[in-house]
Amino acid sequence: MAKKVFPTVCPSCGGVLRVESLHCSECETTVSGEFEVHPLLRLTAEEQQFVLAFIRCSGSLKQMAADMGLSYPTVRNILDSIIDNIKKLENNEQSI
Amino acid sequence: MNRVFNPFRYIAGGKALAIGIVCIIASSLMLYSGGMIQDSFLHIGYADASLLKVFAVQCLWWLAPAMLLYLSGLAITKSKIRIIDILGTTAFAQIILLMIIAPMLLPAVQDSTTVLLSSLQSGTEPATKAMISMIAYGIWTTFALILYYIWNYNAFAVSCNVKGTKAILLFILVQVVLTIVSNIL
Repeated sequence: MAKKVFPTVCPSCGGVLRVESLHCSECETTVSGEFEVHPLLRLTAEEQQFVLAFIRCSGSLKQMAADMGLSYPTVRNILDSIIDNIKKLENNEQSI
Repeated sequence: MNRVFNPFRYIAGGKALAIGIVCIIASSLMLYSGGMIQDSFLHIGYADASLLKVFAVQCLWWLAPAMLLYLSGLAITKSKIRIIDILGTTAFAQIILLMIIAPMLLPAVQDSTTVLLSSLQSGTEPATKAMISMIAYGIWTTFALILYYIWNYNAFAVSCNVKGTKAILLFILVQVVLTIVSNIL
């Protein structure tokens, strides 16, 4: 079975999705409400993987570059594009 | 394919700089052994120059565009860029110059040049063999020059985290300014 990807935008209109209910599979409790999705969760799967790797390397871009087999500026450019995306997501959130 | 057109995704900084400097030394030795010098930006001519002068000129035609690209990058980038990356990647791009210089040392190319020059001076028809080898070298050089510009643009784009129209126009401007200034000097 294919791994399900957490959707962050509406497949119909492209709008930002929010969480309306959370369910405990242990006791079958469901919490309803309107919860915002954290900007980090709204990044793409690749970007989230990059953030995880960044934390695992204690924020060392040099270490990341060595681990990923990429050059230092390439890794820094990926990080800069993620920072840009997070800023855009935060701005969108504020304007909603 | 990406490694052929954009090696800087995988190599930059000190490692690229070290390889680049070795290439600059190698190209200087090749030019010196052939009695040549890079007399202007991306132009090679015959001259009776010392090895030190040939090497200094090679360094000049690496450092001048590198510094101009670095300053251009500083002007338009939003990232914190490192000078070692632009120096390393542009030095690494000098590998392409070896592709242009090395065939110039081949006896077939040197003989063809002599034949063509003497034909031009005497006004006679040059030998077909000489024509073919010069056309082949011309095609090879054109391919190498295109790759040289692609590598240098990618060196600029990766090191300075720039892309789009502004980056392309600034890159072209640097190349044009260098070509004009080097021909005036």
